[in-house]
Amino acid sequence: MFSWFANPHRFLSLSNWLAPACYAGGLILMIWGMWQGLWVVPKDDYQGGDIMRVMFMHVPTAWLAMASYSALAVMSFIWFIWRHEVADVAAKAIAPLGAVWTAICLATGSIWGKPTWGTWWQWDDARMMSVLFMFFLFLGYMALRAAMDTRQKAARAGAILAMVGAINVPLIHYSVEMFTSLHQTASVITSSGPKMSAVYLWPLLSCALGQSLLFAGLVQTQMRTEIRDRRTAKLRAQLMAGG
Amino acid sequence: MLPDFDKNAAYIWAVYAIGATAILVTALIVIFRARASKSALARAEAQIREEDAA
Repeated sequence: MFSWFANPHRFLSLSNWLAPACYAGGLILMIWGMWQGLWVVPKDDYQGGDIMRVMFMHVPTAWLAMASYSALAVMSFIWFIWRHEVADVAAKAIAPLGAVWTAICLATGSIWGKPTWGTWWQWDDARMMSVLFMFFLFLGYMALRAAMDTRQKAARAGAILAMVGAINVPLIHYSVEMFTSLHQTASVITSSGPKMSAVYLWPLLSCALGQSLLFAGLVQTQMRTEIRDRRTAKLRAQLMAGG
Repeated sequence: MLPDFDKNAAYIWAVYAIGATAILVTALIVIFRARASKSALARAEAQIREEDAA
């Protein structure tokens, strides 16, 4: 199965229509979800009044930050075991986007924290610190790749870092149960199903799916760019050798 | 037409402004980079064709 997807030509023809479809679907779902979250759903006084509307932006970015790191680790693993170049291209494309989404998660979480907990940041909060650590892992992954002199070395070093760092993802998820945290325990992704009322749950899921589709579209565009850049570098090397 | 929020309105708008701006700027960078790489590849391919023809 991996070999089928590993063909760059197959990927280019698939993403040629899939990426725009992801952009369109993502934008529609995000706009609907945010419109519901800001204009339609009633405020929840138990959750601090109107400030709970921040959830429709912050929570999807948090889920996507974790999902993007997981995807980075999986792509790195596939490259490490099967040496499929498209998996390496995907990993390289995911890292900067994952870093952006993690940064949004940290910034929006900090703004939500001030009126809710009375602080922008809590250094001994396990959830905040583990997400901050993930942000540095994304930056470290990109810096490590950039520091290597060949593409193979960059892919190998990056893959090892991404796979080792994957231990942080379950740590983020369970941090609120295992350690001290201002965050509440999970209310959507739980073993007994969502505990949230449907009036909030559907807009939240719409925003989450919308952001995920947009992210998937951007990853595909980044991958197409990387494949083209590699082809351009190869052609330039050919021209230099010929000249 | 803006909704009337309670005392935390500034925090809510700040979150949405930061989130939307960051996503929009990222999308624009990705799209412009893709266009630049597409034209760079087209130029390299044209050069190769010229070399082959010469």
